[in-house]
Amino acid sequence: MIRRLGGYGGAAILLLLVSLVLTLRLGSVELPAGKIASILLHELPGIGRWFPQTWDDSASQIVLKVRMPRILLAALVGAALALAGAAFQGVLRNPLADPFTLGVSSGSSLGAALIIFFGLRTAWIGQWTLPLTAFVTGALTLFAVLALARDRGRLPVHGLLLAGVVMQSFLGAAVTFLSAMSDRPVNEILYWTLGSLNLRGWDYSAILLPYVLIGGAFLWANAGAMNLFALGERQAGHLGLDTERTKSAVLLVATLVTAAAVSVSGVIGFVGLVVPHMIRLIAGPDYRLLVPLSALGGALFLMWADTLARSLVVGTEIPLGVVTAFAGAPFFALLLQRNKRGKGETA
Amino acid sequence: MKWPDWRKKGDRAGGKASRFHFMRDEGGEAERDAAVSSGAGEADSPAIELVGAACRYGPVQAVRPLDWTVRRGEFWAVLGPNGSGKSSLLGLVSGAERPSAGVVRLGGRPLADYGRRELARRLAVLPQEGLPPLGITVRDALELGRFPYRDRFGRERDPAAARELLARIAGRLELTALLPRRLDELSGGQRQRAALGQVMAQQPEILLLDEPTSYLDIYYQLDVMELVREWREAEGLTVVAVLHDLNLAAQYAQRLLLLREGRRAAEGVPEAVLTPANVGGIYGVDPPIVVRREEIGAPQLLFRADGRGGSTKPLTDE
Repeated sequence: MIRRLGGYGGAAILLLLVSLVLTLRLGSVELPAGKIASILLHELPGIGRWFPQTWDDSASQIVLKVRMPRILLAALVGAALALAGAAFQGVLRNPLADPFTLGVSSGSSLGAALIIFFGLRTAWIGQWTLPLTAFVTGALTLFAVLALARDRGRLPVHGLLLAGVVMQSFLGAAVTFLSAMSDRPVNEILYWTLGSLNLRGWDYSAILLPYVLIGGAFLWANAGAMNLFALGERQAGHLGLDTERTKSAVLLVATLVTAAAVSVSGVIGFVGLVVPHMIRLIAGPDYRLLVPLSALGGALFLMWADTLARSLVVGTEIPLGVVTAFAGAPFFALLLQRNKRGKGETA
Repeated sequence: MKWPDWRKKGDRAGGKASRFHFMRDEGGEAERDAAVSSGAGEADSPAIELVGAACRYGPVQAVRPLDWTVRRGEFWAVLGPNGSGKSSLLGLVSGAERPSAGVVRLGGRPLADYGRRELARRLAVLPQEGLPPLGITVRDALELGRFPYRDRFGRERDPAAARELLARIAGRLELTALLPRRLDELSGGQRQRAALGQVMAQQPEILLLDEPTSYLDIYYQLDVMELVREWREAEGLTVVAVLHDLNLAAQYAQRLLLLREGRRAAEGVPEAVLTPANVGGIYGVDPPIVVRREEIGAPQLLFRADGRGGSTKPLTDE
């Protein structure tokens, strides 16, 4: 297990580093990869002095102040959503579960839509008004769904899924209503619900980072329990797992990580659903591998998706949620097809 | 005793009965025997004890207050028509159901006092459908049985001993060649064997079987029951099996508990419980013919085609 984790994890981290340099290159000003690598290495403490500055300040400004924060945030949001997706699929034993299953995205969307609709974007605590509201309404939705699904002290999976669907349709309708009533020339609500990382500085990453690190560590520590869930909740209980407590804790943590990601980036679909499945097809069903590799895979996936979103059409941005669906669905279909064929041969 | 030194598998000359001796050390058994003979401590109390224990789902009384005692090393079968409370009774004993009245004790201690992991080291449940057809390997499935012995980082206290235990379980169940195979590539019978391997890895003192033969062909039905019997004989395991197949129950269980509408209808050795009158009356069929053959050693029942006791059984909440 540890050897396989090292192999896959090492490969993923290498890919992440290469992707970082490559995605930093792309943009309105072309910069050679060697220069970018030097700029990054120059910033590292200790070895920075081996890479003296041979570039003008505008180049390092573009890399470090404009592109880097956005790419890092993309990686963090991707990691958060994919982690949460793997955890949801693990404890709910449902392949269609994703981080938004319990309605957190619609809750956050409603909070954001209200703020945008009433023109309160900078009303209260400046630029953080919207993210904080979105986080709080997302978390409130989670508690409402849990309360709705709870049945005599237990959280049955079908109850959770149904409560999530109900909440999503209801809050989704409210968001659509606000969006339709909005008389602004650019429909900001719609754009927010499709996700974007535009104009997010370092501080957004700083807010999300602890959620990804602490939440990720917690979910990884529960990966062994997720393996037991695959046997069915009853048998997992007979093997010594407190299934109700584990399920509540994992769902709570995964949803808070999701709400944090959604609050800074809007709703970016498909990452949390597809990335864990991709990793499963590559590395197998063991959650001790699946959880950390999903985080790395999600980071990689969203880094590239966001790069496409900002560079594919010159002069404008494609909503990130559109890119993730466009890029993710065919890739997923391909993997599914390959996996089917592989199985047919061994049978 | 929770962490035995497993005996080296030197002697296989003992044949069947010794196939499972590796699971517990001799010292542990001697210790337990000593405790039994001196009549002191936990070891003296019955493996399972229900005192007025009942199980209720809302208005439905699945198990009515029941007193029932299972001594260590006994092999019980719980029988009864659909909806008679067999599975609920098993749920009471396994801790999956909390008693709505009365108390359930394991080894003299109330079940509610056990921690989850502690309970899982003492009691294991072999589910009806074996292991689900997952993408994990047989080796991974056996490892999951070690969960109650591992710390929160998934580490064994003695990894080498645990590896050896799993290898021996796989060897005894003839699963060694299947270890790298995925569960979804196995037949139902093989998956039931893998499930048995998983509960063996738990090293329980009590094994509960929940209709373990329902989905199996006759070869694997006998296979599962035979493996459980050998395990019990080798280790003094206590076994309680919910069974639909009365003939299988008569052959493998020493004692039968026959339930009807959540109450005890009969209890005792197979000869006393499986009478034509009992079976006919409780299942609502024509009294079966009871056959005794020396080479079988237990009564076996033969049923008539359309032997529904002349009337159609009213459809209840199945």
